[in-house]
Amino acid sequence: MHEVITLALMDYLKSEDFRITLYLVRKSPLTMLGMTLAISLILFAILAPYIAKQDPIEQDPSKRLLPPSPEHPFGTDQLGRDIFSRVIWGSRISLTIAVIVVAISFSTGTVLGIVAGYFGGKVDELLMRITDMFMAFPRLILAMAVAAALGPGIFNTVIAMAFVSWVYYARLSRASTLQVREEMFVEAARAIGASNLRILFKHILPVTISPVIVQATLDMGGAILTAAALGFLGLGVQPPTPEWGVMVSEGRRFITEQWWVSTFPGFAILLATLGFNLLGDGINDILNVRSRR
Amino acid sequence: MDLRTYVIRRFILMIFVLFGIVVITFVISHVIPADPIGAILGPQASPELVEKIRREWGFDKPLHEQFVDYIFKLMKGDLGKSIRTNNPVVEDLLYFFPATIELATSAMIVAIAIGIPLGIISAVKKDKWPDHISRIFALVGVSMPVFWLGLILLFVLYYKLGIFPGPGRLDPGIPEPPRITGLITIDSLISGNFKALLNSLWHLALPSFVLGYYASASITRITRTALLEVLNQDYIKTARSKGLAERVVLFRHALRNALIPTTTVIGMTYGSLLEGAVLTETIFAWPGLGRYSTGAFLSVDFLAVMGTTLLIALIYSLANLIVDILYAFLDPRIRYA
Amino acid sequence: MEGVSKAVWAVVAVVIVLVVVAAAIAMYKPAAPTAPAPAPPAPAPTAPMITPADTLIIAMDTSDAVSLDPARAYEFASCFVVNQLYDKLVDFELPDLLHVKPEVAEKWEVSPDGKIWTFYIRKGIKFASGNPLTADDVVYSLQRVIKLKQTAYSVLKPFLQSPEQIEKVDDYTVRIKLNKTVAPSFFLSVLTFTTSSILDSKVVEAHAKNGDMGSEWLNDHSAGSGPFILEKWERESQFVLKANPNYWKPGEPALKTIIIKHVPEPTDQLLLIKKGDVDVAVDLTADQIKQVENQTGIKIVRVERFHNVYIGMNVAVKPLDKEEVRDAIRYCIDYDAIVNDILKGAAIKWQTVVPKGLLGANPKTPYYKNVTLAKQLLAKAGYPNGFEIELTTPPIYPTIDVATKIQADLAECGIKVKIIQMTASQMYEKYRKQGLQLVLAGWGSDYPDPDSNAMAFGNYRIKQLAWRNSWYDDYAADLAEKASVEMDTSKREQMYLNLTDYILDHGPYAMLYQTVAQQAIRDYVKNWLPDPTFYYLNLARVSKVPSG
Repeated sequence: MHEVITLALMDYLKSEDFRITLYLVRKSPLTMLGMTLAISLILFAILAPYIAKQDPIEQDPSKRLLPPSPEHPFGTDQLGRDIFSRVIWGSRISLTIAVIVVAISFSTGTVLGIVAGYFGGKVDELLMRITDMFMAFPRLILAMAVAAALGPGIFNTVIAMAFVSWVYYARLSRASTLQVREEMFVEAARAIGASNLRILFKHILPVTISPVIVQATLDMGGAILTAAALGFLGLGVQPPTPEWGVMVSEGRRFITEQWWVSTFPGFAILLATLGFNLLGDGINDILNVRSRR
Repeated sequence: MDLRTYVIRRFILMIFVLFGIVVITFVISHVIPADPIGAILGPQASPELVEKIRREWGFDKPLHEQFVDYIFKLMKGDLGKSIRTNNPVVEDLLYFFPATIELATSAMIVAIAIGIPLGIISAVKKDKWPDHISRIFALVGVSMPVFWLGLILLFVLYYKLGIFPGPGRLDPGIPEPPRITGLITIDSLISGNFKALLNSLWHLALPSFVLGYYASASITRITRTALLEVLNQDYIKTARSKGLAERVVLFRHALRNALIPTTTVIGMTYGSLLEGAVLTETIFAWPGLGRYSTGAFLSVDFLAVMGTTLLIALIYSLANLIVDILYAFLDPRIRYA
Repeated sequence: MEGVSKAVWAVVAVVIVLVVVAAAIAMYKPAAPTAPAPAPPAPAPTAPMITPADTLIIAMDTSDAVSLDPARAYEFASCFVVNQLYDKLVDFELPDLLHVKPEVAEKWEVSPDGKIWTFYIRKGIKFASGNPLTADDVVYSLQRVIKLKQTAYSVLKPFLQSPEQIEKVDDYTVRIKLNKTVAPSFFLSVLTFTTSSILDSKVVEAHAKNGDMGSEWLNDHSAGSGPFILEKWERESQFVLKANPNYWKPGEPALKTIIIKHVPEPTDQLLLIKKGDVDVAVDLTADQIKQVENQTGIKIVRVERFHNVYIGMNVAVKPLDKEEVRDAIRYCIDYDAIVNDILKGAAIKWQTVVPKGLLGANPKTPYYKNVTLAKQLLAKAGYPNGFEIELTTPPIYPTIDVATKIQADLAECGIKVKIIQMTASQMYEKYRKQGLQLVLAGWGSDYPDPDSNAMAFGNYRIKQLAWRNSWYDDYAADLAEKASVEMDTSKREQMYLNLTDYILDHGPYAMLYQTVAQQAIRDYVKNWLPDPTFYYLNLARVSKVPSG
């Protein structure tokens, strides 16, 4: 098993394909911007303890709602906590949520989609009906329902969001699988007697991965926003954990005078989501260019 | 298969899908360890009273019995009664639904008005500055929390600059039109009440913009992608080589085909608009389905939750169905086997 | 690429046209209000009134309103509205909450054993429909509450259990027989609650369906003799009240219309009142009040509400069963920081279970943050390293901030608190089943008598707060029951002082603060009196005078 995957990966990295991809990335400023933002986010998350020296949950109610100053670059919130450190530490939370949600929905969805697309028949029909049902559900409403059922908290929020997102991956990967299934080289491989598993990994997976990756990057941004929406409704992450969406929601009472409480975490959400969206768009473009060669 | 069979088949599938949704929602809302009756009666209520009301509502029966009851009632068009409002859910939905439709539809118009032109500009001026700017503009729309944007716009455009009115559908002093469709704009138009028409449009502006801006991003993206695809096709190259003016090429040939996938996305976006309405309606004090469903979820008003979810799922499915049929109709190459 | 540029310009032109059209619509301003010209700004520094002078517009979060049927109404918003639509036998007139005033009843008598009451009804009162108000209506209204057995009935239940206890003596006299002795002031104050409103029996019965005694119709219609009539209730949108032309008190109401606009978002209410598009905003947060209190044209009306916020400790959950542990928690909380820094004017420190302003209110505040003492107490109880516990609270402000602060405070004593946010419906489900550990909740008194709080916090037998926190204390329960039937007022007061002292030392509560309501009103609104409850403010006397 391992050899199959490793070989496939190494083949890819050495290929002309990959080098052209790199070139195309460098050529598109927006994609570069997206990548920069996304990487910065990851760096902030990893290096949080070194960048934000103040404790994000330490309260000092006598220092409530102070405007930005050298001591508190982003000001303090309604409990006297330093907003700068909360935003930096919050990147860990938001990123973790986004990554886990996307990872879960991505893997389950893609696998299910490929299986359904490849084997077809009843399995496929069943999957299609189930995805139809989930797609007819507006995502936020379903997330609200699940969060209300399981109770608030990070873990439950993540489950709620993953529960509603997997369908898109399933649909996408199924569509690609259907396309590829009929291709000549797959027929050929089957004729030689290659096992289904091998075919799935070596031939089908690389093709289906592309549109799915685009969706995944876009969903990272979406996950951050859904977490914010759940926080707005009181169903999200619990205090005192700093999560950007909850911070924006909490700060909305102060928007007329202490604008900094909502604005800085709001900007963080904006930049992070924008970064992922640009990245996703960029990858989409690159893939389109490549598929036309 | 031909168009008619396709439509019938899709329709039947839709019914199955909706049934599945009923099951899922029922399970979810009954799994919740909450006591909506108790919460509504308040902390002061005695346990006996809570039990009595629960029995009146039939919530003490075993789950499968409740489910079967619900299905039978559903087939008669009865969605039960809301615990909070004490009205039949159908009545409640009919009451709150038009406001959301008004908001979602005008947001859709805004989204299309922003999205399609931006997408065209982006595609035509690919990789040049107009492209970059439109793409960033569109993406910013989906990168910020809808409620935040709403509050900021209210603060700047209503409070500071006074250009737009505060939250609500109509100013208190304006005479309201009779309730025919429930959409104040249409009702005022029908009854010739122009003051109300203009005032309600004015109130509609900010919330539609906030929601519409959010939705425009996906429209921009798909228009851009689809147009780029099409512009690279051979028949476009042929048209150009025939000497046709670029404008003709763009509008007469390219756009028409590019708009096909765009239409699909518009259908899907309508669904996400309904969901975005949940947050927007709170900020703008808009008495629509979003507010009703938030209240229903937070107090676990079972029947209202199921009714609302069914309604939204129904609209969403119908929108997709119509779009898919249009798609199949417009592009004869597409027929789902 | 000339053709393409043209196409692009065409698109741009369309967008510009759309924007211009939108701007034109935006430029439309509503017609000038029908009010008389605002007074010249010369004298007092005041802002002009831009809402109509005969209409009062209130911005309020009315999402908890369920029904306007007085036999059912129990929430803030519903009771506020019901109070304007109906009269009762007797009523309180702000600011006096100790002595009831005659309303529908012009005088009354009580038998020496406190059980038999006779009310003499005023002649000449007409309902909004024109029907005269007679004993039949009084009997009907009160019997109806008992027959329908809705939540609001719990207020009357302890002493009125069968409709036969209410009888008509003649067209203008009603006799009420209680099934036990009750302190007279207590009974009279219960009669002032909206449950005891007098309904127009003929109109209500005409709309009865399936034996509901008109309840469904009364959800959103009115049939009373009060100063206002309900013109309409658009859920999640607004209540519209119009002056009752048949109101029996001459010269009232001063206003013709009252509009209660449903605005769930406090920030929206803030913007509306600052702009002057509403006359009153009731749900501003403490910080928002700070923002507007110095703005020209805005006044803040403050009053201590009969509402206390507390931490409930479930005695059945170890280690909360040990009194030292409960004491330790009480000595670990920074009450001053909560009241002064977080709530800033929206609360006062109050540590006993009967709120300030009621008979028997006990002003002692022995608890303060003393980490050393708290740790000693914990060590004595056998928990020198603290313990872990859950704190449940609904996700609303400012309680979430308070909960977070308490979490930090208790951490200093070694107690690790996990906060669990739960919506009200989930929380009450568990609370009623004694399923919570620590809970942060509030209790509002139903009527201006200490009995409501004393029984709830002290008497486990009625399955209220004491029971929900598994505190089965017979001494407290007995004392609460005795106090509710004590006819001598000063003896009664002493009993409540004793009870509150006892609960202070042994009870399962850490009383945090008493809520101070802060309502923002424009200064041209007159006679908006501070109301410690939410249903005594009589809007009939409120008026709008533009001169500031």
